[in-house]
Amino acid sequence: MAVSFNKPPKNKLTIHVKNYVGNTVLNLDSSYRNELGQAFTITNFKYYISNICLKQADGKKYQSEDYFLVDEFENDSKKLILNNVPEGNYTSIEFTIGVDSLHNCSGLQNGALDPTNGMFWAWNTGYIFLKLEGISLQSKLPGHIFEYHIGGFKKPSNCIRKINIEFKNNSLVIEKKSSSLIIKADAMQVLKQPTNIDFVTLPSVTDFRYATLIADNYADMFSFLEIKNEK
Amino acid sequence: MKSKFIYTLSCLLFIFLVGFTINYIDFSITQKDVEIKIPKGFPKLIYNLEKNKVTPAGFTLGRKLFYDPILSKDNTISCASCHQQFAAFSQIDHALSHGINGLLGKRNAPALQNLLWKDAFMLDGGINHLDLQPISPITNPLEMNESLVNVLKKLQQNKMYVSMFKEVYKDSLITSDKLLKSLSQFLVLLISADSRYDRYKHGKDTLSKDEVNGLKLFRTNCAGCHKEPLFTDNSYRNNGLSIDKFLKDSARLNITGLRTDLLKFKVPSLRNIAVTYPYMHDGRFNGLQQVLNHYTKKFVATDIVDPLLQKGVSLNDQDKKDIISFLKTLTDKKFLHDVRFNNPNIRPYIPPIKKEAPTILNEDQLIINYRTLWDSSHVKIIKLIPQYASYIDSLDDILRQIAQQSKNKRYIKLDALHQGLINSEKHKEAVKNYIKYGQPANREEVMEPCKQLLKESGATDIELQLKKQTKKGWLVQVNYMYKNSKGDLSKKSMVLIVEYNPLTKKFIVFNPKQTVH
Repeated sequence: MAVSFNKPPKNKLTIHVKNYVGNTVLNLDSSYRNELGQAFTITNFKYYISNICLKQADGKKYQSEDYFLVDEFENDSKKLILNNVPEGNYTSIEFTIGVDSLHNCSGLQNGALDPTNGMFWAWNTGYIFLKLEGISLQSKLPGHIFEYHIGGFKKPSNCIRKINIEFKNNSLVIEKKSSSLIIKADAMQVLKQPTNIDFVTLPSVTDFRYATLIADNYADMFSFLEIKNEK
Repeated sequence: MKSKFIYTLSCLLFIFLVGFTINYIDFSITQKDVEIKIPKGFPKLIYNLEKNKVTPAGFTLGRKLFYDPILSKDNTISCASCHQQFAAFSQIDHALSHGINGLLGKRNAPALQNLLWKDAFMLDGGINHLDLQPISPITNPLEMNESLVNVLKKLQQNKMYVSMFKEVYKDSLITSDKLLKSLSQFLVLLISADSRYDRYKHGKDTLSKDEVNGLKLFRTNCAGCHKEPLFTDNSYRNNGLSIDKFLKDSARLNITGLRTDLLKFKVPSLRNIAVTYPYMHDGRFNGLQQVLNHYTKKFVATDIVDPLLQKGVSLNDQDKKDIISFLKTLTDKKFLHDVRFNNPNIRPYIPPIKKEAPTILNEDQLIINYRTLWDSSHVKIIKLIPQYASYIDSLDDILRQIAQQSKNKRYIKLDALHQGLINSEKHKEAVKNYIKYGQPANREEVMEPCKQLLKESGATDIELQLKKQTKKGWLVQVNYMYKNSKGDLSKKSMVLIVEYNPLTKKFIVFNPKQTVH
């Protein structure tokens, strides 16, 4: 992650992403039920967040170039740190789930985009934007696993989705001290609305087939939780 | 007598230590070897060389990785297993590529050549950048079945690789981009543009009547897809082959998901075509004759066979023969035998020179010969100081020749000259160094990397002393002054270990536990 340790960070914003399933915090040991009533547990949940853009009420914007890979297993990865954010009162945030086409066609990259992170398709160049894996007894795959590896930046299976989160009546104040924004990522949303995913008929999506169905599902996976402005 | 004893001892030592390294081909790479010359008439490069500048050390590392099975899960399969130089880096006789545990892949290994001009890789064009291409065979369960993370771990545990990576990237941490960029540095140099066809085009060679006729026929019937000078237009086409019931390979459809891409494969280059059999994406045809027979048969006009083929290609038997003769002129022998691309791990055996019947020479002639041999061996020492052993070897040769010549007759003058020369100061010093350091080396050359390292880390008043050679390498005692962050000067001393890397012919400081300061 693009964090510089050399200079003391100025105007620092930390975005805390909290993974949920429905209304409860995601727990790898808990069992959940999808919209069709099928029980499941989650074993892996990872996704890319990029092109973060903070917006002020008067239309002023701050665009970050950093890429973040959020991994349920890595607590540090759930803190997205932006340094040197211009001072101001921000009212909404916009970002994309996935990796844009430019970064999918630029050859080798480091950091969050290093192909060793397990989020890269070797046979059909491109990053996996979101990985959700787990176990459901309804799945007929070996070990009753289900796996959704969603990616693809080219038409007709473009899975990049833009997210826009309004801070409701709050505003995010960036001053010299650090501020925190807490947002919720709901894994359940990957499996429902507009398409309810059935572990019996669709236990595995690992290429462009059906990928956009799930991408449309995760397009509303994020929501606003809280802002902490430290003064 | 004493010097003779030392001399004999040194010969024996030499045979024991380095006796097997002399007659091998020189694999070291110079700056000139890695200069990329764009062949006349070739289009603009697609690969950006500015982002990955080829250096001799980077190329050498890439070549070592290309030929090393360490990239596969069980350390049995290397890139070169399916990409052999004599087959233009394709694989002769294997219709489908073979992976670890005898697993059979799904496609025929393509030739690796002129990759600088390729926009996408694999027969389905799934990979959009040369640097990313090796990840696919490394991780494919039917090929090397290894993870990138594990490859990096294995390389990091290998001393030779750590030192080679450090030499190229000035950092000994091996990462995926360093690994893949090094492989690319080897791959981009695989340029084939010196076939008889090329020389004919540039007016440097002639083609026979049949071959010229073949070229004409090729231009009217085949060049629609196999465009000169690369002999491919980099497009994807359905060439009318029926789908294999077992492989069920739907080609580019797998990548794009577009129904219109069903059974479309990337048009391959035809350079070196004569040595890349079997042909087609699944290697179903063994000869060029079969290939041409396929293209001249009447296709059932369907919407999925390429429009250029639907009209039908009509060629008679003589036409086909001529086209095949022309295709054979695309073989680039210089490329297929280029020493730069040879496997550096297998050292080719050079048979011993045949013994000629001894000619009887008079003593004066023998003295002249002897003197020349001796002098040239001294010239050699000066030129190849790290390979001092070759000097000892030349002396050994001289000794054998004297023994041969003086089998029946004793040459008094020659013997005296020999005695005089081996008592000379120059020779005595060479032998003394040899005994002292095992494999003698130029002190300056051994100490230079230590000096460099210390200078880079800010040390001053550096004193160096070459101690001795051990199994680990040369031990160099260093004393120096070092200014710490508070600005206090302090005197430091330590022992550095210097290793000799025979591939790059350079000395490298290698200290496993100690670090400078």
